[in-house]
Amino acid sequence: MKNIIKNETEETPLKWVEQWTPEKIKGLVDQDVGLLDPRIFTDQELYEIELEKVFSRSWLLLGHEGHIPNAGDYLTTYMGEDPVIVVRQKDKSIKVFLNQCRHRGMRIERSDFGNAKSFTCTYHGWAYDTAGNLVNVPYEKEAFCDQKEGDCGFDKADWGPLQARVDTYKGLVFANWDAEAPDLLTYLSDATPYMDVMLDRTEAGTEVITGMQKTVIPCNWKFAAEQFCSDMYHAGTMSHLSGVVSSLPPEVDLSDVKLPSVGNQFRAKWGGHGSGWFNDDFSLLTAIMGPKITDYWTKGPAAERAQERLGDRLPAQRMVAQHMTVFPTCSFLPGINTIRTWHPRGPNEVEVWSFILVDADAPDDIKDEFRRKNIFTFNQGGTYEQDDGENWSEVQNVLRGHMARSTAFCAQMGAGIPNRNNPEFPGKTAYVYAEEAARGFYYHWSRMMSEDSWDTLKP
Amino acid sequence: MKPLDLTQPFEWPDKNVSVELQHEVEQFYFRESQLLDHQKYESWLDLMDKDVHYWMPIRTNHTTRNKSRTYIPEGCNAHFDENYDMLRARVRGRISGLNWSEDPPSRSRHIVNNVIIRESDKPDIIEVSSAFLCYRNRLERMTDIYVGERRDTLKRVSSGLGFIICSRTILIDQSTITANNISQLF
Repeated sequence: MKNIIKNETEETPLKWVEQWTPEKIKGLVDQDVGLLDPRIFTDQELYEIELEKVFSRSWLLLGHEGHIPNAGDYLTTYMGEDPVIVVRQKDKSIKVFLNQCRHRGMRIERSDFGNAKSFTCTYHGWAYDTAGNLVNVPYEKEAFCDQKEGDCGFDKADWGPLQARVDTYKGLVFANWDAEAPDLLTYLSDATPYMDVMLDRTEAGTEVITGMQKTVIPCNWKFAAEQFCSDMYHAGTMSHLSGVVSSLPPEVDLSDVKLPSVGNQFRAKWGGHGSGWFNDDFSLLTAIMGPKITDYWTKGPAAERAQERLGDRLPAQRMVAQHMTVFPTCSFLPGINTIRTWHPRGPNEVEVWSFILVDADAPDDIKDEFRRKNIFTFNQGGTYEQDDGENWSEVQNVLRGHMARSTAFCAQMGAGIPNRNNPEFPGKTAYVYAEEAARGFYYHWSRMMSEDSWDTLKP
Repeated sequence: MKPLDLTQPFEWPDKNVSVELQHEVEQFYFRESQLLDHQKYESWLDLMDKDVHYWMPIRTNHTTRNKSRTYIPEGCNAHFDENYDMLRARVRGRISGLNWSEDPPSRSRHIVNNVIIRESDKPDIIEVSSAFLCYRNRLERMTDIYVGERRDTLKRVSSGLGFIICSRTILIDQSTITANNISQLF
């Protein structure tokens, strides 16, 4: 009798109580045909697996070195849903550790940023130095030891917060919980030339404009990350037309404007990173950033110097309105210079932490123009960004429907067109309106979700 | 000039302004709210001085000891940092019929209260602090509440609604903005 019931159950599985196996997870993304199972954006259990398999094993963007220039400078942020403290050490290295006291789990620092000599938990007063060593436990001897400290089975050295691996790439600070994961440079794979378009235009590197904007969008983190990875299509068609209208000179109408359509997309050979850009047509950059930034970015001494530095990597001076995601949640727009981390908050919500970068040696008026134009266009009230939040949250609402989330998404742009590689750009490229990078993003996601060992995952 | 410490309360006048001035200013704000709540964005723009500075700084979390770090200062990242041309451009996009975050339009209600007025040494310039609550409900059930304080410099004019806004600093009572965008104006 028991067996019959069991068999019947197996034959009529209910989708909403899916028990995810590696095979089932791999089946959610078909990168050859270009199909996505919408449950990847809604399923609570998949989300829990993401926190473990993606966010505890990937290199995550936490900030810029400029956020914490001096010893003791710190920033509190997140890796996935885990709160962490990012601290500059006396030897200039950076440590990242869980913002969690080992006693009862309270945050050990509750300010957004600052300079500290130590971090003290406000629950029972355990204190940690800036390297994350537990240095003081109130009533340690009386409460934990009958004898002298350190000789009673309780050793403070055992109770520091969990430390993450930390590495930087050209000013950006990344961290990873997984000791077995490849180093950051290996992880970035062949995507680094595309990052360099924003990060390495000058010997001086980039500096951060003070202030992190934090906002909440009720949508799955992957909508946002994938869009920056792979979706020029929305910018060249519908999503941002009001942003374009906003930025037009008063005498120009939208009907006078032809948005560019010639460009390319890049899919990293490993890792799910992706980028896209228009070639040679500066109209969209002008429509976002105005003529002053467009001139700075495309002509004159700063642009020439950038081309000299980057020229052997890629023809950066031809690339316009570039978008990019480093898997999973580091997204940015070279030339606009907004950069953000998409912190996941359950399957249905994402927190956006965004800041602005500028060439460190740019003239002050250029830095200020980047700042103001970013606030105007790509901050959460920005003329471009505000319409992204509308689309993503509406899609998330639609996916409450059973039929809606049982109906595959089309991610087929360019899937049947193999010969769109543009040899002028490094790596695997496609037409600008493609979903090659999206397929790469979701394929890597499905591998991270379903493969336990770096033996198979590694590049 | 030392930057204004926004963590300090708006400086009260030694003596209350006249009931008439209080009434005029409040009526100005109530009408401004109506313009925003009825999507009369071009008329709202007419309330702005050509040299207006419209600024909403980012607020951060710090212990009282480090209270001075709370507001990200001027010249840094912000929620809004606009001049007249940027506001005009924003309004142009808003009325284009293509601004999906406010089209279909939200149902909004800007409620302004706690108006404290301080006269300046210039007869036509006043400083005003007010509290606002902006309720936004849009589409089927998306609902956001934006609350904060506005610190305005108003200039008396003979036309329009009697005043224009020379500067507006919006102190939003959130650190992480919980709405899916900031497509409302305040």
